[in-house]
Amino acid sequence: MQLAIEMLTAFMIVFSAVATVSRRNPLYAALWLINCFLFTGVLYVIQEAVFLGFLQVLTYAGAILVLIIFSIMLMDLRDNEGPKERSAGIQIVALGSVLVSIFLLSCFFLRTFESSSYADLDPKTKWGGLQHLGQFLYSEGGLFPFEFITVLLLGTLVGCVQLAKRKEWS
Amino acid sequence: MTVSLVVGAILLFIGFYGVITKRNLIMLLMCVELMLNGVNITLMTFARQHVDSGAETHFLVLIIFAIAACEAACGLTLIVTLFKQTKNLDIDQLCDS
Amino acid sequence: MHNLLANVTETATTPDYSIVYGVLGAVIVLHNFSIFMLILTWLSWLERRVCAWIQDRSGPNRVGPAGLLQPVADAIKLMQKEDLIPHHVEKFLYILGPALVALPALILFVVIPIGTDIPYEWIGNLMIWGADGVNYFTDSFAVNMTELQDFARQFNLDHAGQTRSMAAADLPVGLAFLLAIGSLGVYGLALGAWSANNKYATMGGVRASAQMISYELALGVAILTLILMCGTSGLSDMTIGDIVSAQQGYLGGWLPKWNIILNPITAIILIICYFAETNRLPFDFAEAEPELIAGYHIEHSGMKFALFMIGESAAMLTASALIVTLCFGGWGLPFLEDILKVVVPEIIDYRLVLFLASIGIFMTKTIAMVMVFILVRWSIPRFRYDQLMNLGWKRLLPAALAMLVITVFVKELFTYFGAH
Repeated sequence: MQLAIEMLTAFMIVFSAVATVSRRNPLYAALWLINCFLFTGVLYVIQEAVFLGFLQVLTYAGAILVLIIFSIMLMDLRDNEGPKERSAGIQIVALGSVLVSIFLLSCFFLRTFESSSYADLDPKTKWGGLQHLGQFLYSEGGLFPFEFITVLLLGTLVGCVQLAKRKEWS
Repeated sequence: MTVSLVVGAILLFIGFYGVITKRNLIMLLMCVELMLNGVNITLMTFARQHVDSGAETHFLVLIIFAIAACEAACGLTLIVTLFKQTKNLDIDQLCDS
Repeated sequence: MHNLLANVTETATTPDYSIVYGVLGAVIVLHNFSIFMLILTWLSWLERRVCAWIQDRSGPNRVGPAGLLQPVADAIKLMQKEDLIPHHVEKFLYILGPALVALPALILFVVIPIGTDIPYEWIGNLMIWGADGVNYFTDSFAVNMTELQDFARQFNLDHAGQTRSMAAADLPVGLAFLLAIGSLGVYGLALGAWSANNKYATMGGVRASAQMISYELALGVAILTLILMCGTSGLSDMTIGDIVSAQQGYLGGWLPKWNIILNPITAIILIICYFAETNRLPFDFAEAEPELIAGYHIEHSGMKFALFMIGESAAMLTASALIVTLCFGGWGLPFLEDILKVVVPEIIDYRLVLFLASIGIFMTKTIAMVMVFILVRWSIPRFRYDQLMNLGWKRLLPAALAMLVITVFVKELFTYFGAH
């Protein structure tokens, strides 16, 4: 039952990703990407990391893609005005190499990991939930990276404001 | 578990195909986010497999969320500013000029 | 997946009634959904009557008794309009936009507890016991019970002696769910505006989505402050039911511990942010000022326009329900439990009366908050766009962060002095 839901989610993720890459209109590609991220959040919830699943939806679908769609609307990118596609030769070579890589990597995974189910988990321990991540975040293992990410976000904020303010670019 | 690993690999390579093939800067950014998502899925699958290791892998995924957000913000600022200057989002033409 | 399906607390064990729990869950979902839809139907009537009362005239009072069938008349009118799709719009987004406006509001209502928790033993007592002590409800299914019990145990459904929350799904990460689904509310606006293929509609949509994402920041910090203040049960979940339960005590014996009293500034920041999130006046920028040029729903007519309006009303209803839950004590009334313990005769379980009363109290409080939304709408002029962004970034966000720090400080002080 869990495997069936997982395979359905996986199919939706791959379908959305292929749809993203194959759209010409950047707005429709962004919409398919939202779909991909939502189903990725579902996949994380299936893998018992409920808090990270909701954080995925919050960060990616709720913030990053809103920003992308916002800038597409700001730049008024309609469908027929964008750059044309690359030549067919490059597309075929890229597609071929991607398919070969996926095939090789999938063979490697399917050979190495014989069982297609996860390790057993006692539901009483509440693994993967909020406490699991939170206690690590504020303990000695995770405190320094956490504060570093804070500084990184602050630097990004200042940098973006400064980049947007410059009137001239050399 | 192999399902999730294969999905992560597929997303990574689909994003790679998009980065190579697309000329629109916004599409490039979206395909980079797709690659990061593929990496996140692989990391979460391995975290679920090795249950005794604690929360380090989940924490790494959280850091990747934050870094992806920063990178998307900076990238979009640059793209919008570039568009205002040159009215052109074609990466081939921007690289040649 | 186990933790998501566990809406329960841990207490003693009694014989399990597996098949009933699914039925109870379905009943609660249907109940909450119908309450939401019923209030939503008459929300436009309420708004028009209150608006008319403020403007010293009578609102719709023709169609039914006191105009109560006006929403039905409006629905019939809008449904029989021609379903027109102009040739210059982007078809897919044109049809998708209105649906996306209504969806996050409906989804968010799922995590709000409408009343007190239901102990499963009430369901057990409803079953039919024969004179010979045989339970004729479960024993007639005796053949299939083992399979059902295995199935139920697999999904952790055999909650014996525990309670079920009155939220349709009291998620263990309920507050992250709030923020996540709340931030999806931007898409309907942005895509509906984009589909019109009209520069003015696009600019209106851009400004409205910028407004919504700006106020999400202060909203997130305010919710974080409320989580910090209320604490959570067992340290590992942040359900909304916890926040409501934490507001049921009393300060000094007589003042209810509602968040509006404990932390008024944060609660007011929360309320202002919900005004901005639902695009209600005075943050009405998306649909009013561009009306001089165009609005984000200018190209939509008939049923699609109706769906935009319904979506906005649904967002207002969900926002009021959330404000009531997070700041005004949810389904509880001060001293009600003590009064009921004394007043209710011994035959009836006083908790049953409390449960029924709590649903009524929640609906009353939500409708009162909706009236506040409507009163503010018809009293205050709307902000200019730069005033709006100034308020969101330069005033509300630093205020919310300052309240976070102050709350942590005060809570630590109380813990320190409480321990000594």
